[in-house]
Amino acid sequence: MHAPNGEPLTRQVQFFTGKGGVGKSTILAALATAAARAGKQPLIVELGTHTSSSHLFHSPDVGYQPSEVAPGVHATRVQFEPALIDYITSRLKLRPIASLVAKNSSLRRLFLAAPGVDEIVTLHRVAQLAADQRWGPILVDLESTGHALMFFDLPSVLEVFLKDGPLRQVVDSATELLADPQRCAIHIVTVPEPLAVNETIHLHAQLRKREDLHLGYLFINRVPRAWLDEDENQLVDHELAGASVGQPWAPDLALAQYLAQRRQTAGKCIRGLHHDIDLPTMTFEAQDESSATIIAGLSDAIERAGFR
Amino acid sequence: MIALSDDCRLAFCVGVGGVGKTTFAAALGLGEALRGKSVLVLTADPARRLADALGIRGLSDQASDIPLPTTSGELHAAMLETKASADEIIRRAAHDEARAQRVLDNRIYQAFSNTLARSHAYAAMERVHEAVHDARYDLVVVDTPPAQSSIEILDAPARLVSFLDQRVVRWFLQASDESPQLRGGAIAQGLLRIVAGQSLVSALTEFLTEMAFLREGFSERAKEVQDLMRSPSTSFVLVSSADSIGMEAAKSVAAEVRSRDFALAHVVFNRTFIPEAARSSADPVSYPKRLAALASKLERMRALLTSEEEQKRSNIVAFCDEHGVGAWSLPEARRPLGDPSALAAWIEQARSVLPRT
Repeated sequence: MHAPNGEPLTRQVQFFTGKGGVGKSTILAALATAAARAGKQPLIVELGTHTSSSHLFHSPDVGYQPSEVAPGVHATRVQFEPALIDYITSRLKLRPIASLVAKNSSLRRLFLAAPGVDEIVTLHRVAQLAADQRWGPILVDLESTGHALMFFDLPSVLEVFLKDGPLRQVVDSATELLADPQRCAIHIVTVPEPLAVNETIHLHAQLRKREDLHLGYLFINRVPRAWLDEDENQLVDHELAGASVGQPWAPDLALAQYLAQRRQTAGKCIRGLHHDIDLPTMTFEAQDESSATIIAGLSDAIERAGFR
Repeated sequence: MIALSDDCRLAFCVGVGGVGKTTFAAALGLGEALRGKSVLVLTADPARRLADALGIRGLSDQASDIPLPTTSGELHAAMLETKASADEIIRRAAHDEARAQRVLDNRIYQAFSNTLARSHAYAAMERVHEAVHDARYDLVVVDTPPAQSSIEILDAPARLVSFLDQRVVRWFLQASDESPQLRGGAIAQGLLRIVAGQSLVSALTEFLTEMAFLREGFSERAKEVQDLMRSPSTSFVLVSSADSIGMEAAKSVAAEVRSRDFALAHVVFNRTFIPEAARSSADPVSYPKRLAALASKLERMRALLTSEEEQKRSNIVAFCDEHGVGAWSLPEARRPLGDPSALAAWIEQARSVLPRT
């Protein structure tokens, strides 16, 4: 494991992106756990309908209001409706009227149909949470890569025709937050598998083009463990090519060879990632099944690496 | 064996990301093509994995033919490029170059057509509609984007119908009209100006005016897609991993699908076992002396992998029982799946799990 300087992870707002299913939420949960142990007030922010943190921490469902999912770790889910009401309240100043606007059947249909409304209210909510000095670090779990790119592009999309007005303010404060190297970092999470590597390299290139964004770490998750050392792997290959053919233990050797190949492929993938992505890296070995042990293991690794 | 029912015309692959959904969509389409159907696999995923899985250089909005080892069926693949699909929709609906151009030049249209999740969802909906009505295809397999955006795609038709059918559009177009029916609309529009800003509301009005000619057709097709999604010839296939985290995600996606009255036809659990060629026997073996040093490591390795597989298997059985749905369980791939023959070899190893009730 690299021993990176802990600096990007000390910023107040951390975005995490990467191909779906690479264990982004688990890494986030581990970072939050490590931060809580260090006496900070981590807040996990999830977007949309699906909540991973309640499963990961075996806590009750996470809702719009931050709730404690593990000792010192809070989580919130940016649900569309309350986030919309929060946004409207920030403009109209009166919550009851904001609720009426959000519930007006015609406007509701417009808000549900119009592209961009999701992203706007989400950006507003993240900025609102960031302004509340109670939380830090704020760890935002962005969905798949395509979705994340759209999310970061929104300010520039809106900028085209928003000269002034309330949305302009949201866009400006979001742009300011995203562009502030003291307050914000974007991390990429991946696994050492060929398809994931291609997508990660593409994502990194896209994010790099955006000069206003500040990339933090590349987290490489689920590196297959090395079961045997190099000599032992050679012995396995040798046996399978000769003396062990057809023997009752041959299937075990074949399994060992298979797992060694998997580890080797992962090694190639990691070299490919290092070749194309110049971010400081943290790698984590594949862990056993239960989410509690995974989080505990990862947060120990993070602490050992000196993140505080 | 992995196969859809014979009368299936449209299949949506749904699920959270990173579980091999795109690869499976490609394999499913391939399997049906090898059974003699003419299949289009359509990926709505903004990330470009379908081309990788099928071993071709790239995909576009136009369908590409995928070479098959058989002559009875056909396999085609296309990627949804929002901008290209949306432009095409406008051109077709406008019947008039100048009218189409005015929409294409509209700044709202330009800003939104290429970038946002909901725009993707609308363009996907149109593309699915078009593909299903294309006589060249017997079956359309849609690979939806991961989780949240996938739900976005499933909800797009209903949302659009609801918006276009309503007075909302009318008050944008007749904001100067002082008739009493429209007064409520005027008040709402005033509020909208406060929350969204004058410039956006004006731009939106301009856009909806330009788009007026499209509304009817758009709304009609959205309704048709909505009906199509609930038609008996449409199947939803949920793709997931079978570890504990994957099972939670699968439950939540299954609930999303069911709550919309869509038919969850099958569940696919990926990477649930080691491929046959690398499997070890379940019985303990005695190793020769020269391998004595390896024996304990090999035994530990086998024990751990066996218990992982068992755990996954029992997760799958429990899921099938709870949801009354059949599952296909797939091994992890030995090599990256990058061409039709590798895909075919992979799904041939599928094991079937049926609910016990």
